Amino acid sequence: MPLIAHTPPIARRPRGLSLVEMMVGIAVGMMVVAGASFVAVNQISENRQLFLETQVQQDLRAAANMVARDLRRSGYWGAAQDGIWIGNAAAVGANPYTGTTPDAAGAAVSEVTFAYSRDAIEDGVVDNVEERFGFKLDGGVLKMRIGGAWQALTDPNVLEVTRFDVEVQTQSVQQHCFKECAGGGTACWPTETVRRFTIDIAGQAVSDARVVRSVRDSVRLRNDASAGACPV
Amino acid sequence: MSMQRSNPAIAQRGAAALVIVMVLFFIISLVAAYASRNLIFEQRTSANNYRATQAFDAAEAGLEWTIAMLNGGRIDDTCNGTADTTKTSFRDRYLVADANGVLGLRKWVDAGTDKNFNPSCVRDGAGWACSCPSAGDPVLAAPTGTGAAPSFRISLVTGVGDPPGLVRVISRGCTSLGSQCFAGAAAGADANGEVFAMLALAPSLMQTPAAAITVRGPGNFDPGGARFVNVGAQGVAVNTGGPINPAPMVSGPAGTPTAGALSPLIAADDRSLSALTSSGGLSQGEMMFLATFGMPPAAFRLQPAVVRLSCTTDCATVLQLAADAHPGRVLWVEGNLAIDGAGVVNLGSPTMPAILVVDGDLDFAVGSSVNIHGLVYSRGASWTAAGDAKVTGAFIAEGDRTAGANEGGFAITGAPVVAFDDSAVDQLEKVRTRQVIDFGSFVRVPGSWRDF
Repeated sequence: MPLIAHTPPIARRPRGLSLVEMMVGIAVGMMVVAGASFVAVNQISENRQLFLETQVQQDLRAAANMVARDLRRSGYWGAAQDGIWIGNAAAVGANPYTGTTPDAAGAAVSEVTFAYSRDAIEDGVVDNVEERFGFKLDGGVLKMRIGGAWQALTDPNVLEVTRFDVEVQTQSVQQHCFKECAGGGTACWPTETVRRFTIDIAGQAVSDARVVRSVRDSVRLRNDASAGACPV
Repeated sequence: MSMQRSNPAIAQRGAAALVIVMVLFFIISLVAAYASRNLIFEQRTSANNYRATQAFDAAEAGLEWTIAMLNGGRIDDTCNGTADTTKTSFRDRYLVADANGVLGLRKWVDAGTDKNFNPSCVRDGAGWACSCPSAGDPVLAAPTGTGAAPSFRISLVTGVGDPPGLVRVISRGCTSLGSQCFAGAAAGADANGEVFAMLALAPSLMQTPAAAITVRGPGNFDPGGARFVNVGAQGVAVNTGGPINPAPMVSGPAGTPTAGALSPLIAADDRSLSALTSSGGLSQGEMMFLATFGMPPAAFRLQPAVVRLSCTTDCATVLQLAADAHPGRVLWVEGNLAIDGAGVVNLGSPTMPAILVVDGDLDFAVGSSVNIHGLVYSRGASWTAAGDAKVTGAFIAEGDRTAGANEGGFAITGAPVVAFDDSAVDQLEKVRTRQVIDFGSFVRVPGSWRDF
């Protein structure tokens, strides 16, 4: 008796993958790859979008900050004490740096100019190169007047500034004099004017016009404008 | 064999998908890392911006605080208001005026060296803790409260050739109580900013009175009691814009006639008082106020250095407390000033006048005792002095509340004494010329602010 009986051959089941199995496997794999690449592409483009938005926002904010900080100094006069009325003194000095454009409420404009003293020893003259400042919109670029020339404040390769609106609000307080002006009325009496500028800047990314951002800032000029004198 | 062949084939296909997915996710994470680099940069920028703004605003707060303190009353060493008469006001503690009204700084001596004062504050929790030393460096404790704790340090500067009443203020703000703002701090603050401005003392008195009592219209004084004294060499005792009826009781230097119209001490029907020309919509009474104080009453009462009081009962205590806490400030009483029977009021001294403006009538009850050195200005129509009342200096009545035949008039009943005294008037003259740094408000000079 053979110890090991020869088992009769039975029909061997086919091994390996069937065509269907393979197709399913490939299909699942492709779907995973497709999903992953979809997520990746999405992520990358969103990142790019975010980066652009941040950059535009940052540039606009920096520009608005620059405008607000510089505008705030407007009207500084090294010899401000000369503008104080001293009892019997006849004339009171006028601040040569006080003027701005725009200087009264009205439609928004896209250029603002002002002056402040940079003299080590006040000379009372507004130096065209050193002491006149301004900001304006020029062909999609925000420009700053400094050193007598207009220089770009924003990068035209990255940011296109589409709007630079400056508006001014004023409020005046009048000093009461003992006499009315020559010819009547109170128009000549000393007034002090508080000025507040509102700056509105909007821009878009040069590489993607859909990225639009805007910044709004408001600054009260610390140096109020004073004008007029009591009739003697 | 076929099993060995087919299994790796499955594994390879799965591995390829895995590898591709992993590579893609790796790329995504690289991009994310790159983006967060931007984020970090952005965060740093905004943190810098935040600190710069905080330091700048602390410096601005310091400037405003200085203006408020200069116009305030007596303070203790922590800059809080006090009625303790041994303490001085911020103004008297740090500034002094010379004979021309030009301001100088008070100093403190540290081992033989003169040093400037630097009043300072730090924000601690919900409020500010300040130090206004009378001598020495400021004393501030490190803040223990939660939240931001910015601080500021004030330096006052005066210069040669300055006009009267001018002081420069440099306020340095810090994001914390750092060494830039407080010499006692160990470490520096992250950011600091400085602002500069000039402050000027606005005059509080435009003209010195020239009579014991000045009334814009007719005077109606109790013949039995009210006495007007002018023992000085200048001015008169009674000056009215209208007739005086009955004849007032006046006294002057020995030998001066005191009888009615003959007396050089009485100047009635003064056209310069009765014929004040209105301007800019002010009434004649308000014009008199303008001529005396340099601004219309509506603006004057809102000045920072004017102490406004309102009292219906126990006015004596309210008035006395306000005067003690605010030496050298104009006291403005809203409405009538009624001193009741037990009221005792002592305002001013021979060396330091008081200025009291009453926006109404004065009514001192029987038994009250009121003694004022300085100037009393009434916008009302009458003064009832049933108690003991004495004004050493001058009394001015604008008579804005009386109309008709008595227009601009003022009536006095009872027995008050108004003594026009050379020394009291000299003191008021010093106020007018700003030789004493009291009474006026310190205000910002337009055009003097800078942060560079």
